[in-house]
Amino acid sequence: MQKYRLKIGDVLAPLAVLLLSGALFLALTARKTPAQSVEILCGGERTVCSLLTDAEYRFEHNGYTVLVTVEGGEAYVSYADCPDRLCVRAGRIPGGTRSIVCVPAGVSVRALEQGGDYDAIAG
Amino acid sequence: MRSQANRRLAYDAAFLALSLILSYLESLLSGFLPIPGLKLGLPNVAVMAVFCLFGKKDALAVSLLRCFVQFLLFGSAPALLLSLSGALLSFFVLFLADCGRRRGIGVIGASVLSAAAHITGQCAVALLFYGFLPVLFYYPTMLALSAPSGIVTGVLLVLILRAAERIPGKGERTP
Repeated sequence: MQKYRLKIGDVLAPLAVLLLSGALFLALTARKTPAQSVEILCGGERTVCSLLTDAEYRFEHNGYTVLVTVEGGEAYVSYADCPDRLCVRAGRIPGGTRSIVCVPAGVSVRALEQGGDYDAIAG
Repeated sequence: MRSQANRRLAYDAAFLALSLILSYLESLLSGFLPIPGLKLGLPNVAVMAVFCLFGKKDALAVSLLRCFVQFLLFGSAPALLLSLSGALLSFFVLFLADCGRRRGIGVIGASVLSAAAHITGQCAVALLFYGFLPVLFYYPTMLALSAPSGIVTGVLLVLILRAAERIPGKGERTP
């Protein structure tokens, strides 16, 4: 009978993956200031919205509808009719997350750092 | 000789069916997991089992067929591309690690590296083909989570391989 013993690589592989992810996380989040605006990308079109004004943005792309809501200084996907609705459960920007992606609809919402340029201001 | 080939084909088909069932089960479970998009990589257990039991060619066939059948049953075109990129890159890493038969790395280590390669492939396609820059912010979290999920699938694989010791005619690996 074949034995499935633990080898050194079984311990080193998870450690290496965790170290790499930690290094990437630090590199991507270093020197970030609180977001005051979000960038919404939909099918190549870019919209920058202030988080200071409450508003709703409706996007229709790839046959799906996505509703991005800005409320109380936070942005989140309040409605989507994509198959898994992961974007709806992805949380709020900047409260705990810096980006929300809806792959089926091709819509992404990303926090912009202080001083981001505004293409469109709701209100 | 022919009966052995037929038997092997039947086992491959059974593992393909198992990977599809695990894929469906995983989609149901993902709703209960705390992090959106987090998946355990359960279908990969079936692919790795085929790799260890019947060899790389059978494993590649099962992996690719799973992506296409899953696409035909539930998927969309972007989902197929993401699924294929993850499956191919994780298979490549599995091939390099020889599914845990190399001297320094076992089944669990190979499973962790394969899971990390899977999410790397998917994020790379999302970034390169769909231009989703925000994926970069998801990537470190998903990469970190691939370590525990790879350990879970690796342990499951060991259990399957131990049970498979009793499968008749499973030893005819492709050279």
